[in-house]
Amino acid sequence: MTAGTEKLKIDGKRSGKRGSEHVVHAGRPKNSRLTAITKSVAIKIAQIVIGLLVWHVCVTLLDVDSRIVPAPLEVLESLWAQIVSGWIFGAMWLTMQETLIGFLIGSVLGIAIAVVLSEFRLARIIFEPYIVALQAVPKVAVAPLFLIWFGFGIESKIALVVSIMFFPVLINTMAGLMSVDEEMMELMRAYRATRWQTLWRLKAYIALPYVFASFEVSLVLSLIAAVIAEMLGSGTTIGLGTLIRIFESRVDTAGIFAVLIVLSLLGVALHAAVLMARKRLLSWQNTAATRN
Amino acid sequence: MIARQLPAQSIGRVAAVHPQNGAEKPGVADLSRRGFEIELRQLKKVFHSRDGSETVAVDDTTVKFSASQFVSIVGPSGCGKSTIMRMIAGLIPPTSGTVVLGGKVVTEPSPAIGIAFQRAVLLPWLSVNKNVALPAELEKRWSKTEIANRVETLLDMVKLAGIGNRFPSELSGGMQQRVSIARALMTDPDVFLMDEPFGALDALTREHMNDELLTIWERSKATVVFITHDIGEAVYLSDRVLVMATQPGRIIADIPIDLSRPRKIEVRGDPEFIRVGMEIRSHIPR
Repeated sequence: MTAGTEKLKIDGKRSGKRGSEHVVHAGRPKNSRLTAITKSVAIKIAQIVIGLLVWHVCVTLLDVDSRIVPAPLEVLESLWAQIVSGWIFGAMWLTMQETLIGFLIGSVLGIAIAVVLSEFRLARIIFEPYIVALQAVPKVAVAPLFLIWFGFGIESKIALVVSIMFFPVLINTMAGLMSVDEEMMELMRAYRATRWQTLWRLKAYIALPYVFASFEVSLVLSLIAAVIAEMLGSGTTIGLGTLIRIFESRVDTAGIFAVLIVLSLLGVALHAAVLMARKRLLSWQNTAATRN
Repeated sequence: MIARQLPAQSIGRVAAVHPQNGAEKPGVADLSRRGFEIELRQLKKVFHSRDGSETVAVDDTTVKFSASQFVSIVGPSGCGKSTIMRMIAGLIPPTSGTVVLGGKVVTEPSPAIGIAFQRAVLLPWLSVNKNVALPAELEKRWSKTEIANRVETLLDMVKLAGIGNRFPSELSGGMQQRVSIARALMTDPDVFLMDEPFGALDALTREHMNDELLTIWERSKATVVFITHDIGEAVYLSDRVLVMATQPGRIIADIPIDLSRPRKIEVRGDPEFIRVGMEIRSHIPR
């Protein structure tokens, strides 16, 4: 097994170099592109295996109590048990629901309010102080209120998600809408664009990169918020946060680690989804960037 | 090449097919005499800076540009050339006095105006076609075919035929500027305002663009107000050159250019060309 890892590692290093050279030439043949992908996957696998090995060696050499830090094999075992029992999938589904519904509501709300505040000076003057004050409230401290208002079900979790991820979206979108180039605004005025035409044909496009920058942060924030909300109280519904609380009560550290691994995978996947959506929607920006 | 073979009225074609478009324009049937007269009456613009001091960008200026005239305004930077243009465009209100455009006082941007800025100011997320079409799309009274035909004609005219599906970031600076000129002509303006449109181009592209502009103007017969700091360019293009001085911004000379048209590159060596250039130069303080 060690020999295999060694080989992978060496291969990985070489292909890594080649891969970066290849990036310079666009439009390489599909075949070499496939090998490049296989190689980069190989590197990732090698990195994971090496990380687990270091972890294993440290835990066994230092003789750490498995209730403090479990060995990687124990964690994988626990993860496998949770997969087999199907627990983890139910918990993932629930947590993802809370995360995504909350994210959707919060984004729509954040963008809509940003548009109103940036378009109407009066609205900005009236509501800005309230927004600043609300933003300053630590949202986690409001979670008990959400439990009282919305109960122990999914609603209170969504409420916390919205309250946490809403502000980055609002503030970034506003910054984007207000960052429109003066020359472009003048152009729109010279061609007698209406307020809505200016908003949809100009400002929306200028704001989009800002919105996506906020999504990158706030989607992962949403996941964190959902987990926190579950840990603060979740009745009979079991999400990933609840699962951690259950393992905690049993001092099942390996179980907690297993959930953490799932959470970090979900976080990475969500982040990747935002990056992909951004690449598609902002393709004009990408070409501008490569040109300069 | 194709563009040159088109009939002289090609620019006015859309106006002709579009009764609504033509209805607002007096004399639209007579394609040889279009363009609006522009009158500045005691026009003044004062800017207040934050420390309370005042800058008189344009001081009490009265001048008249007749219809279809090509007028250049030259002067040192900060002399208020752009300010005058932006007041004609209705983008900023004058402190006092009025701009009269084709008999109407300007209070807001007029549909009769096409404008090109120093930078191309193209929208990077729109293709060249869409960028050129923008002013018509904003007006909402053009059909899709009308827009498509007009865009094609205009791109042909600025020698950019066939690149309509590219994006601005894929074009050179000169090409971008030509796209912005095509866009300014999209709605078939009676008045064409240009604020140092070729300032960022290299000398050769610039000369080429000057010739293109003259061809376009001779066909459209719009009134052109062209702002530049290049005296040679001003003389080459114009019927008339206004020289401005700074602090306060004002017109200090009004020089007619009597060189025959159509003008070719050789005219730059004409003794009259050089004499007029020197005369203009003598008005601008060193």
